[in-house]
Order: sequence, then structure tokens, then C-alpha cells
Amino acid sequence: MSRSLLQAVAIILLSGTIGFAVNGFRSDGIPWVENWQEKVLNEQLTGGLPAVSVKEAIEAHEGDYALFVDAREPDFFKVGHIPGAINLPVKDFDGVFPTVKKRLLAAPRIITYCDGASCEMSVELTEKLLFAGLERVEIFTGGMQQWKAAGQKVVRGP
Amino acid sequence: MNSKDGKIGLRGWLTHPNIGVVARVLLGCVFIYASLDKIRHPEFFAEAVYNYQLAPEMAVNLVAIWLPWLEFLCGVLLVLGLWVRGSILILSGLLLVFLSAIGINLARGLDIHCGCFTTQGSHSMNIFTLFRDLSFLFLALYLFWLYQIKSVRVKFSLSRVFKRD
Repeated sequence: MSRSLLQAVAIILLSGTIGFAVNGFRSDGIPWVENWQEKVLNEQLTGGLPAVSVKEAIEAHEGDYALFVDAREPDFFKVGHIPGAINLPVKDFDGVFPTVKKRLLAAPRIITYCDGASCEMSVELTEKLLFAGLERVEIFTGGMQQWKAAGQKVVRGP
Repeated sequence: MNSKDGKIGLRGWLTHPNIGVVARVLLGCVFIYASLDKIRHPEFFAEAVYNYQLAPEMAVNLVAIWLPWLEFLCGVLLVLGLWVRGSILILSGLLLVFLSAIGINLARGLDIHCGCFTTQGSHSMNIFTLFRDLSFLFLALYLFWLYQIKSVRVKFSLSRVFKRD
């Protein structure tokens, strides 16, 4: 019995080491601790579509784990957007999508956003992207408002 | 193993080395299969863990990161026949936890996805989920009993090569 216990402890430690090491190295790893109540609330705002909090969005941006996609009109995008984001206005989806499709397909994770919680363009864009066959598309419901409030960098221009 | 008239009795069947190896590999494959989708989609598995509303919020992701690898490692060790007793001890414990979690949520009337073999899907857990896990627990307990009998040598076991069982 004592040998069984020793083996069990060794297996638990080994699996934990492998699990946390793999999670640390993979591009779609998850944080060790997450605010699930906020996450579920976000998903209710997005009609059940996967959502990310501002903290997760910042982490994904800093780690270069995701491609940010701005769902707003080009004029708003030019005034200020998340660094590295591409513009795919939901109102001109059919026209712009073919030009950015390759980049979207190559991204391990896509995070859409617009102005903030009151704006629905990121939700609409996510629905269209999922319908177009893309996977791992999530919505940053806080959008530009929460991004700026968190003191994150904003870039101007096309 | 054999009774006096040459027929194999129930104990004879239960302690038959071939039955033991089939049970071990079967349980190992079940847990390897169960772990794969969870390893592939940790975020969805975390959601399944959260939906059970049993683990504290700060433990949800830790469980989602660690548990699939625990299942996978135990499954691989069972198939290889290495550290079998330790693996069975863990899997029996896990199955007891799973059974309790499923039982509690069935009693609560929560309509949630089991997250047992797939992390996504529309199939809610039900009483059959409970019986399925119960059958795996019996299989684990049988193997635990089998490996306590020193006279039984289960075939195709790496532990026989390394002299570690």
C-alpha cells in the first residue's frame, strides 16, 4: 500500500509539472486563476459567444498570442486602435474579408473588439467570422473604452 | 485457479492473467481518450469545470490545466503496465470525485455538459453518465484487488521488465 501511495504521489507531481509546463509554452494556454463570474457575465453580454476580459486581452496582446480585429468603421479605426490590430469593418465585411482572410487563418487566436460594452459590432463580426469557418474567435467586450482605461497604448493611422 | 473437475471457477476467471491485461489496457485507453480533448481545449474544459459549481473559482483553471494530464499519464502507465497500483489508486479517487460531482448536480437539477470525454457539445449528463462512471470504478476496484494478489502475474506489463509493480 505504501508503494502504491508513493507511486500515486509521484504521478500527481509529474502530471502537474507536465500540465503547467505545457500550458506555459502553448499559445492558447489559460491563466492559472481567472475571474469566472466576470467571464460568464461577459458571455451573457455576447449572447453566449466566448468573451475575454481586459486583463486577458492585455495578456494576449503582450504575449503576442492573438490577432486583434477592430470591427468599427475605418474612420474610427484611424482615430485610435489597439497596436497591431487589423480593421475589418462589420458593415463592409464581404468587401474587406477576402483581403485579410490569410492573416486571420494564420492567427492562433482572434480577438474582436469595437468601442465597448454598449457596441454590438464586435459580436456581429465574431458571428460572421465563425460562420466563415474561423475558429478560436473571442470578443473583447470592454473594447477601446476599457483598453484606454487600463492605460494601454493606442495607435493612430490606418 | 482451476477447480477439481478441471473447470475454471469465478475466482479463476477473475484472476486470469489475460482478463487482467484486458481490463488494465481498457481502463487505460478510456482515460487516455478522455484526456485528449481536454488537453486540446483547456479553455473549454475550464468552463465545464466551472459549470459544475463545485470547485472554488480560483481552483477552476488549475484543475483544468492539471487534471487532463493526470488522466493521460495514469492511462499511459496502465497501458504500459508500469506503476499500475499508483495509477489505479488515483483513478479510483478521481472516479469517486466524478461520481460525487455528477450525482450532486443531477440532484440539483443542473442541466450541464458532462465534460467527461468531450469539452464541447449539447449532450447533458444524465443517470447513464453516472452508471458509466460507476462501471469504470468497478473496473478500477477489480484491478486494485487483482494487483493486491501477489500470486497473480498480469501479462504484458513493463513493470515485470523493470521489476517495479
